[in-house]
Amino acid sequence: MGPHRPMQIYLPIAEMSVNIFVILGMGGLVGLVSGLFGVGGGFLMTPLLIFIGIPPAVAVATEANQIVAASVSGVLAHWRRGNVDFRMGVMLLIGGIIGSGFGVWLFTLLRELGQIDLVIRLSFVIFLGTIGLLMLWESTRTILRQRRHILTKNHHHNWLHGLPFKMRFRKSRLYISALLPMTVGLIVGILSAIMGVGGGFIMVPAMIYILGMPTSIVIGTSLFQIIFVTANVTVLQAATNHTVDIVLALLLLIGGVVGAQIGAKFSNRLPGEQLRGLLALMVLAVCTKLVFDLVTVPVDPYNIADTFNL
Amino acid sequence: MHPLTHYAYSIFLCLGIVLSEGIPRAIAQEGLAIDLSEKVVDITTGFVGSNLLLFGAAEESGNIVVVVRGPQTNVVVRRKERVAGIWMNRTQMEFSQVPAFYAVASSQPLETFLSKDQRKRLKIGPEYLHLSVADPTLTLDEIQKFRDALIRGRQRQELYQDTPGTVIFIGEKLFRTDIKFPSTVAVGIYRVDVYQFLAGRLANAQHTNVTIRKTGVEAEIYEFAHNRGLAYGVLAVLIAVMAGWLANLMFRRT
Repeated sequence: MGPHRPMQIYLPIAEMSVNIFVILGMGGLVGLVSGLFGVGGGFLMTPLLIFIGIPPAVAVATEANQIVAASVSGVLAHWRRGNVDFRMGVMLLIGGIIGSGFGVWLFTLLRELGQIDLVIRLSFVIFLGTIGLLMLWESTRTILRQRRHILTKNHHHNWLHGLPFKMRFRKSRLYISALLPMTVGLIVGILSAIMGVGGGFIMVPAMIYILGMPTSIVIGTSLFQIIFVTANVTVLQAATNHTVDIVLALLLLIGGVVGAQIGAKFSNRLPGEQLRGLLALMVLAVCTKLVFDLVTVPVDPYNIADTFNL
Repeated sequence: MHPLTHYAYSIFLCLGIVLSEGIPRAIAQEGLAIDLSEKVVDITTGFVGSNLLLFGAAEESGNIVVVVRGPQTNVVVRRKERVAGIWMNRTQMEFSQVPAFYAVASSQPLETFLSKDQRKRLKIGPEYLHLSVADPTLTLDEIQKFRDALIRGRQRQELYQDTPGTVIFIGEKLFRTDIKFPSTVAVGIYRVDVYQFLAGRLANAQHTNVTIRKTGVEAEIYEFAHNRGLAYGVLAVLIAVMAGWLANLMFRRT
């Protein structure tokens, strides 16, 4: 008895009812973007989930779970082509496990203090704003100077090469300190736990510009690390905060798989630089919406802490 | 259910009470009998809220008040303040004994037949709820502001309802009202009190319970996630790995 809306599905952990097509559509849209641009999509999905009213703590933990699946399907393709540096991946992973463990601890603490929503939103504003602006600048510059040849040096020798615990990474053709990938992994691990992202958008540039890895093996190696770090985040969030919604994760996944297939098919037919400019604009739009929500006068300055923010 | 069917159903049930005098199980006191269309509300996959029908028969027609109270919990209310242009939570207050759901329905506006003392004694109306604050350092004025905000917030979520005139008499003695639970309703045992006032005095009172529970897959997932979080997390990862692998197989074929 009572109202009957067949499009609605009740999410057992978020404890709310959502429109099933909205969730599938969002998964499809973000999947399309990730297929087109070869990005993970967590940095777009988590804010979108927050926008439709999913408690931020549930959005972050559930998205980590979804990224496990997306990264597994991605890494298999790269592994078959031999584009994974496992030795480098393990070093990144050691840092990642420590970082994500610390991140989940910090997350729980911020939740008790009632500041987790704010910290999640602010982190997204900072990272999406920075990345969006950099990408926009990069793509406009490239479009403007398309005909000019610019030589780039991606392997500088500086103080980073003086660090101890040097290791040989055959696949990456590098002889660098193991502390470098560990630190990169550590930072990405913290972000992964707090923002519900894989962290590829930070790790990939760091691997190219700081570690000096060849571009061809960067994506596969980062995906390898992301699988284990997001798996660690999922397990820790489930054990301490009980915020992983498996029903929501599965719905996002279905939409994501379909979207990514379509995106990957179209990616070769569209011009790269214009496409990257478009992604930059999308990132900036999400960022703007987040800023807008943070600075506008709330409908009611008082809010009741739901069970996820206690 | 179609509104018309719902209506026919209510009349049928009310007639049932009158015709089978003395038999209805809900009768405990002479002069007032009540029952609910359902005693258990199941939260399942398609749950979008639920409407229950409360119906009753009174020997003499007076004013009827129906109060529904959900399970009590502790609730934290926070106030956002502007810091460097950004709205962030600054002050917070914890209330205990806060009902998760609280609805008052009556046949007439309450103030037309009830005094403040009566309302206070029977806790009729959200302003008469006993919400206690443990912190002794807070001023009464501050507590009042947070208290109002708590009630306001719950009203916005339709978890607190104050609806005069929604207890409807069908003829002289039969009455009915709808109890509306939104989709965010908490699980637990809900107490339904029905008061009958004659000439400004409490003449009869009856009460019954409704149980709201999660059932099926929803309940199992929720229980599993909260009781065995670690195992749940490991399972969630395994499902994701399987799904990712399947997706990759599909990718390769196309």
